[in-house]
Amino acid sequence: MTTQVNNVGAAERIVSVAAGGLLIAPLLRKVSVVNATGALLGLDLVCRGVRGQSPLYSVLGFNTAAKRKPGSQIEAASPEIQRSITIGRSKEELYQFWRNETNLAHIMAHFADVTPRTNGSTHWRVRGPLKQMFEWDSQLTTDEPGSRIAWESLPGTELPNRGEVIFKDAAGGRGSEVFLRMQFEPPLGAAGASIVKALGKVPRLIAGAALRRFKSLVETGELPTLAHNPSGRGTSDRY
Amino acid sequence: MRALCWNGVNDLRVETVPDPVIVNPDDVILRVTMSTTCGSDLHFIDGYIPSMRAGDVIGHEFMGEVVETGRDVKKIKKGDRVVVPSFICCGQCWYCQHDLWSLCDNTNPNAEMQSALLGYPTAGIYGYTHAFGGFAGAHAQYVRVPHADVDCFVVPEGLRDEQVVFLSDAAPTGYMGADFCNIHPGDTVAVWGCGGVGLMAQKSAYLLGAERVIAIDRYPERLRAARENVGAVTINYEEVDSVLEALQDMTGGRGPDSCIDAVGMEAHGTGLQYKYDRLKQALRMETDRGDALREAIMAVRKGGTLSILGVYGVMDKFPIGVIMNKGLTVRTAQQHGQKYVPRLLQHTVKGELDASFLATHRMSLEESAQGYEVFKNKAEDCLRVVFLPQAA
Repeated sequence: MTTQVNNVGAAERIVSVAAGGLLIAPLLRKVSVVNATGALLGLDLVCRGVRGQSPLYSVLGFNTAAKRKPGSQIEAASPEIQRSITIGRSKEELYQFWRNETNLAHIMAHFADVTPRTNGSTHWRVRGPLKQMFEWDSQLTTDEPGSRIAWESLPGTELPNRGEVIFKDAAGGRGSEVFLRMQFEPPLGAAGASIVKALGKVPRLIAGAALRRFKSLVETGELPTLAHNPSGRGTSDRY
Repeated sequence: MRALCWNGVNDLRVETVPDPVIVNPDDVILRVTMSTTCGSDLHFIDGYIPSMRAGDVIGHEFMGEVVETGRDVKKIKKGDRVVVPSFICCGQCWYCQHDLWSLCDNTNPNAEMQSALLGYPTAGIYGYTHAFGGFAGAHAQYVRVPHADVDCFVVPEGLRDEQVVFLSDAAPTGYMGADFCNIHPGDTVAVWGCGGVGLMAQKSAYLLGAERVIAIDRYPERLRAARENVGAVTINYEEVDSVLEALQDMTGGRGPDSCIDAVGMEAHGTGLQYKYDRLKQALRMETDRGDALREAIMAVRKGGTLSILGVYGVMDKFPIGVIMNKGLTVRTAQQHGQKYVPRLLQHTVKGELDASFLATHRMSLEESAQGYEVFKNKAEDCLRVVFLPQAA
């Protein structure tokens, strides 16, 4: 146990000590299988509270204290979005399409202006929920042709983020399953996290819309649009 | 151009709006020569379906002449006279390629919004709420038609507009409903509702080989249309003690092999539950609409097919136990029009189908708001009003 890393978050440690103590105290009066199990659980709770390590969690593979991955600026506990879609094309074709800078700009155009830099990085401009602009350069961190592309913002942005797109074969000739993961380190730490929480499903909708745009562009060569849509309000609708 | 706009509950007005333009390379612009009212429009006119916006151009059942084509349009040519199904379909996705056209993955710009309501998005529709895409409708002088090579069907020579316009929605919807019934020789098909879709479902059941079609409604002129234009046997449910017993008596106690619901009801969210219950008490028509589906479920024979074409929202008191214990097959969909329009055009050319009897009223576009009043109130024995957007 001494080589074990901390896998229990701070708040959970405090609660654990209290709960563990309460669980053990009455069980020590009488010996039985049930009481012994309860006492062991209580011991685990006290142990994780005091030392930040839970033998039970390490057996089950849980970790509520994880911080940054090595070399990453993003807290592992930052809000992560995952959406998926099935597209009637091969993984290789989809990978190629996504890697094309013009196509990527189309896919993301509903929420970001994405432009390539001459140094190989990509510049992102995003309008935030309070109309503020967020900008960053991102660089590929993984590029596995036909299966996975990952990117992460370079240091210096107020909205550190990373994302990845994964391509897998879909069964029965349905093409490919595409998974888009995006993770943002909210500005202002905990306050920012609550802002992200308040936004609710908006980031999920943005990621979902990106995948739908990707699919429509690949399968039909165009996007369904309400641009120049006639109405009594004038043109160019967006609901 | 001039167009019929929804401005709020029961507030339709003909207004001047910008002309549509080609946006995507597969688009065409259609000069609308005829469009028609649909019962499903009444749901949002009455305010029961959400996500309309003031100023929306309505209308989803139409035909016209191609006046402009996008650069990637290959089959459809300028000058073609075409009929267009109400659902916009890409022709490329898994659903289109499996003839499940109204479930197209690639034509709803508001797919994420609609997924919140249905779990997954449907195809976009012309002039039918923003959840269903927000596309401008066709009660207008011009309309933009995306994916024209997939969605435009050239009309054979010699057919009048009134014979063709209903092939945009009422006829393929009704035909699909009858197709769902998997009709065998000797089958009896009962159809609730004698509006445009119900009458087309009745006609289609005969085209697909039904021995007998029984039509159920309460409006004498609609029942007459079912008898005279379709050849159906009719039941006026206000004149019998029990529709169930009447159907049993007509089928030697077996019950109809298939029942088609072409009635539908106003859509309600769960939050409107009490209002719905009040409505059921206050408005007899609403109660009857809710009853039609339950009645069809009771009446269909054991192991039979229930085919639902009516538009529903969230329905309470749905007797799933009756469906389960009787081993029913339930088939339902918004229309997969692109699958059925070619064969309906063939039936029309051969003289086996003439849907023009639905067009009881002809009006100019300028009169279209009044046209919806007549249609909604079933005044003047109205079945359907057709609009002529190019008429002065």
